[in-house]
Amino acid sequence: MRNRILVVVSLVAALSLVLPACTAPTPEAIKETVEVVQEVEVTRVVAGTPVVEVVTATPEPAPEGGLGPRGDNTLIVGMAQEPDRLCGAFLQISAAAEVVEGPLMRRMIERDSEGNWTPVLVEEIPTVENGLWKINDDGSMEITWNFKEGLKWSDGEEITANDVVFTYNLSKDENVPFPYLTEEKKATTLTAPDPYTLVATYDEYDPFAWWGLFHIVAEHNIRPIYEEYKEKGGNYGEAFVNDERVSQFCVQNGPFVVAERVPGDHIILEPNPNFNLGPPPQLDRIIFKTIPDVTTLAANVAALAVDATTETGLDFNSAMAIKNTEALEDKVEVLMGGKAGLEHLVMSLGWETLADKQVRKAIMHAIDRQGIVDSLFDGALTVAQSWLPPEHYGYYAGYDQYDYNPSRAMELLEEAGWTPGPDGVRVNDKGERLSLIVMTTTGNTVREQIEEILQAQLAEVGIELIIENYPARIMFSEYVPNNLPHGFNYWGYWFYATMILAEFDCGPGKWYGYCSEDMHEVLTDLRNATDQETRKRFFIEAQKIMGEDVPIIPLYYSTRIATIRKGFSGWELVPYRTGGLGWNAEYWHWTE
Amino acid sequence: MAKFLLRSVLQLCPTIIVVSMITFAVLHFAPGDPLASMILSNPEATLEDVERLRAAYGLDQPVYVQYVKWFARVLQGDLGYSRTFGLPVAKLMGQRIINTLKLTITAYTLSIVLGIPIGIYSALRQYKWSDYVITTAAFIGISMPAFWSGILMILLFAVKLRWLPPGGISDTGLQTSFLGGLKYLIMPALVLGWIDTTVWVRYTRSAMLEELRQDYMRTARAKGLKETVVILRHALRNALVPVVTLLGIRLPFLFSGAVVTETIFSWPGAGRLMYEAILNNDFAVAMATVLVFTALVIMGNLASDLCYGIVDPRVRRD
Repeated sequence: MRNRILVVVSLVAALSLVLPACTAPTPEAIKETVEVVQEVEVTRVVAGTPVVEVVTATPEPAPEGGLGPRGDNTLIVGMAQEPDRLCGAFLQISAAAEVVEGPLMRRMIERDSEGNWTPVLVEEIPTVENGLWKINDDGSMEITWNFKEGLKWSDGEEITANDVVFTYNLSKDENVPFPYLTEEKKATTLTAPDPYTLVATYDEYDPFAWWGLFHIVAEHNIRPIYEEYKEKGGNYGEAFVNDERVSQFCVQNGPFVVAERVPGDHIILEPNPNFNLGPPPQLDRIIFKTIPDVTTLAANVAALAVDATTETGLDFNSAMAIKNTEALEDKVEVLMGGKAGLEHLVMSLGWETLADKQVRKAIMHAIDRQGIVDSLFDGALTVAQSWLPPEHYGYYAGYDQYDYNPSRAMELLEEAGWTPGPDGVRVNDKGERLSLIVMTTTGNTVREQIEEILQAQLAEVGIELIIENYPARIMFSEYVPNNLPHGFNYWGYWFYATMILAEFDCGPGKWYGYCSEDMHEVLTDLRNATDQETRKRFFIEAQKIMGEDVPIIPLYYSTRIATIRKGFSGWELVPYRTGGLGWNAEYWHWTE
Repeated sequence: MAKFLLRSVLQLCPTIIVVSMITFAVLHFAPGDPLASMILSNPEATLEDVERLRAAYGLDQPVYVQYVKWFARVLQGDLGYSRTFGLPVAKLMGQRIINTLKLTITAYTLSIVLGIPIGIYSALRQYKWSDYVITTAAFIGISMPAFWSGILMILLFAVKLRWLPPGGISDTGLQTSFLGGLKYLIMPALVLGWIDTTVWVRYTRSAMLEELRQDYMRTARAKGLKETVVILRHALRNALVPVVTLLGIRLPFLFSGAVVTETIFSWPGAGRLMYEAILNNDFAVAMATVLVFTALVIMGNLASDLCYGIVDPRVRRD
């Protein structure tokens, strides 16, 4: 008997000693990297003007002991959200993808640091002036893209217009669950009369079509895999997009390639030996570590276990805690970059109470937006007076007429027929209470705090605000857009100019009930404008209308937050830059 | 014994099937659309896009049809694809299951190795100050949530003292040695195993106290046996019987506790995978992980039954 117990205990003890030694297997990785010294033509934008320069790429020799805090010339980046797929054309969701996608893929055109579009794979941006963008009398268009010659995919094959045509045709296969077809499907036809010329035709006028067809795959890489699955038949589309050669390890054209991915743990990028869209990258490796809990991520920064965090990493409070930690002052820098998004309340205008503009204006006066920014963010953020950021060429402060004025709010409510009830909550002549619901996604502590502040501020003017939050998967399917609460949806979005057309014009985008003839007219003119000056005029007009109609309540401009170890160069938050933090990955390097 | 084992394995199959049906139904009827977050990431997505994707993923069919198709694929060894990661579920889960087993077995072993001896000691020192210290510590330990104690440990051992890494499973991108892997395992295993340690302390203490009061203990001492022999060979042997039955019952708590611990310590395990899959409506992954955990729990209970037979000859099965 004793022997049996001893055997069992020994087995268990042995197992507990052996198992820790098991480590994650290393998938087959692209390990070969070649040092390349070359001259490269690079287009930069200086003060809004594209400037072409030739860069000789000869990395500086590394100092003795190696570069970086570990001497391995590697950057370790912590992120709270993990990208789903690593091949841009097939990724579905995840803001996290942007920072990883930046080092992996360059698009036809991209935004520079000032927010101006600049050509990357093509010679120039199509415009009416240069003749590459033709608009016919009936509104149909033809856009021609001239590709640069000699640009390479990571396996050395040339990037051509045929790759775009292949991607377009692939997206037409209904069996393939392509999540984003918006840009591709707008084009009526897409052809490549020669390898370096792409011609897109459109049946209808679209002022943003020249933004480019974003998602490109390498035809020589993806076609054989696609045809292999198509031959098998059945539900081949799902199997095809979930083949890791397609979803994770596809051929791309950025300065880095995916060397290893362990889902849920890390992604390792190594230099692309055939990168010729810029100078060769200077880092030997970039490691993206997935750390889903924000507090743990902050601890990793404090413990110097990660060198950097991305925009989908720390929240404002954690970032400020890091910033205010004396021990980290000379080690870690906290970056806050521009007015990258708008935190706002969308009102259910289809509901009678909020359909009354007077009530909406009263609510604007009842909310102390500056007070919220001062108390929660130490005044570090800016109150939003429009849905556009102040840096936008078309910005107009349509909402600055709404100062914090509870007396004015109460006056407006009285005029609208809402008088104080016995419990302090206002009622109308039908005896209905002025009771609103505010709804946002659970888990966002800043928004939850702001909801409580709003509740207190609105209570002062006799409005009851009930807080009802749900997980995103429930809110966006059960309530938005088909079952809006009687009140507000509280959320934010990164600036996206065409969103104005979707959200504020009459039509399918007006899911929360806003439809104004004046706004429709202005947005139609905006849509048809062919030059920036004209567009600016209509942007301003639209913001004046918004300031009068108050269809949303802009609260403040959110900011992108990131951290970086001191002694690293190139980790820059540029709000409008395509590719997020990863926009200039080839220039990243340790300086000590 | 062989018959018992065969019977237990055969009982596993219908249990798994019933659990799969219930889980599938709950996942599909719970609020939340699996395509909602995907669609809402693109504000210009149209109804046409939604319907196209729904058809591509087979989500437009009745739930029972989806279940039958899923089950048929599983029988052929195809667990489907993760919509979140764009990878086959089997590939995704393989290493994650191993990681979770590594963590839970280590935590479980630690809790038993620590909890039972401490429980015995506490029972032998009943009403002495050491007993009070131990029972108070056990009470505090059982009350501490893992997410709180985990963060505290990270702040102390990783941030302040820099003795241990703040999370993860290995030196990323490098070949991790045995000791290197161990340093990543210490904190999560302690946090996960701590509650079970306090459970074993309390149960062992109670069971030992019960046995120490029995008449046969007086007889054993009267026979002139050494106290160590009396305690370990007589009292402990009988006290272990109720404790061993708890081995299997505690397993589900361990796996569910792994979800929180794995998230706090960024441990890429199946618990965290299951949690994220449910949040993201990644049905294929959620189904597969739930079923794997079900199977593990059933097998754990089976192991517990076998241990029971080892400890108590009266219930040994032939």
